[in-house]
Amino acid sequence: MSESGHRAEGIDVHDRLPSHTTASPNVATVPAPDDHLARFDVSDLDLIADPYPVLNEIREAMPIFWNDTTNQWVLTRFDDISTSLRDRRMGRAYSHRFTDAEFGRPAPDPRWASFHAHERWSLLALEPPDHTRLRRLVQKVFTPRAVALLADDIQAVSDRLLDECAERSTFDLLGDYAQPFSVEVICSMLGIPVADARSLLDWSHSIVKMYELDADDATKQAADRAAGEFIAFTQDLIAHKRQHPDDLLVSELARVEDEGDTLTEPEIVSTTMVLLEAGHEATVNTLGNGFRALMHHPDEWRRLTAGEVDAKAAVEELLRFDSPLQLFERWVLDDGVEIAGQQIDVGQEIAMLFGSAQRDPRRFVEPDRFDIGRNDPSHIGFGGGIHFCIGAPLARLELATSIANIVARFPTLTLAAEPRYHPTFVIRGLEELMLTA
Amino acid sequence: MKVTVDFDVCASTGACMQVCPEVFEVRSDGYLYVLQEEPGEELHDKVNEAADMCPTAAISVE
Repeated sequence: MSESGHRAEGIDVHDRLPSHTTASPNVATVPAPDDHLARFDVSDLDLIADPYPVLNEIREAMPIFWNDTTNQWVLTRFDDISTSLRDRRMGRAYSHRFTDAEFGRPAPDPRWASFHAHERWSLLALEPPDHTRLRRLVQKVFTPRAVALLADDIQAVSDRLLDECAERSTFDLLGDYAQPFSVEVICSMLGIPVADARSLLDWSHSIVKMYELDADDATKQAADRAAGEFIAFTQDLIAHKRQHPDDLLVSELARVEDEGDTLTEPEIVSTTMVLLEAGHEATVNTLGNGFRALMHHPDEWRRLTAGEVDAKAAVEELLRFDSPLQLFERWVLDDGVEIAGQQIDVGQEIAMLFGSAQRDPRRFVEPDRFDIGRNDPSHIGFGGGIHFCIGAPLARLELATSIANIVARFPTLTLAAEPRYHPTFVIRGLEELMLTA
Repeated sequence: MKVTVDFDVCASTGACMQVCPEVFEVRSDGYLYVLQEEPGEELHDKVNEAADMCPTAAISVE
């Protein structure tokens, strides 16, 4: 049975929830802009090729709408999304407080047991107190100051890979640079042999496709198989670290005692895996989407090569302009949530359109203009609230290092071919980005 | 010691509150409140650590 079938059946249990009276969303209060909704088809390759005209239209027509296909309230505007990200009445998970039946949601599909196991203790799928406990152990490695100490190492990795790119007249910024770069950096922080990077990339690419709204069974099966292999790899890694400890993160997670309790192996596995996945997917896609924009805006590229704008400032516009994460969800866990005048009941899910928020004219002057000199770090590219990207300082350093290095080495860089986006809406990234030095 | 927060970049992660709840509180409205702008000496180490832990470097200590 499909997930949407499960979800639709479950609505009648809503009235068992505490202080909860409305059984189904009050759709009548929202205008029914069918023409806009019809164009918000996340499987539509035209939408994926350039979602912004449709997102602009939807955002200007309505701050919030009900998506019957996914059973989600969809948020379109910056302020509502920024506030919702911080709102503790909503969370990334509900299983710490409610059963699947209470939320009218299917139990995890046993066919994808490995995927669910890999995610079970992920920071992205936990709420306090477990989230607080695990995040505290990890975050000290990712603070701005801790990350700054890695600057020389990160520079060296970037230099070596760009040396290799320079030997070819034309190179793929993603496959030849961004992927090996970000994987090597995160592996070196975690203490994972770089020789394993290729497998990690393959597993990660398969697994993250599970987060698409329209993932089919073949995609889910591939994600589940990858998750199973990734789990086995991580279990072996932890066993190895217990025998041969070092002072890097995986070893520390395997050793640490938190208020007397050691972490369980599933906790260490999920934590390691989410850091590996998050540690490169978004960075790679930000570089790809960002350099596509830079190549399409030669005047902005010249501001970099002329030294008018520094790489650190440009990073913020790359993060804003073409978001590598287009949609992010939260569950409503407590009563009283009202967004843009719409009451949202406990048990319902909101989906925040980051790409729309980042182009909201209420928040950004001329939002569709790619302007690398904005230097506005208060966008929502890293989310907000307790789930704010733990790796944001690392991502900012990796991106700034990469931009500065590429600008210095290849000032006449141009597109060798017009790139194509992966056919996925939620995680937005290019298949490859062929550039001529 | 004087504590200042750049509220434009504060993302309400609550990392500061985990370290030093005497000075930093992210309330149920989702926003950070500085409870003591000039905390006593006994809190200085914790305030410095809280500033250090902030992933957006929003907290400055003078």
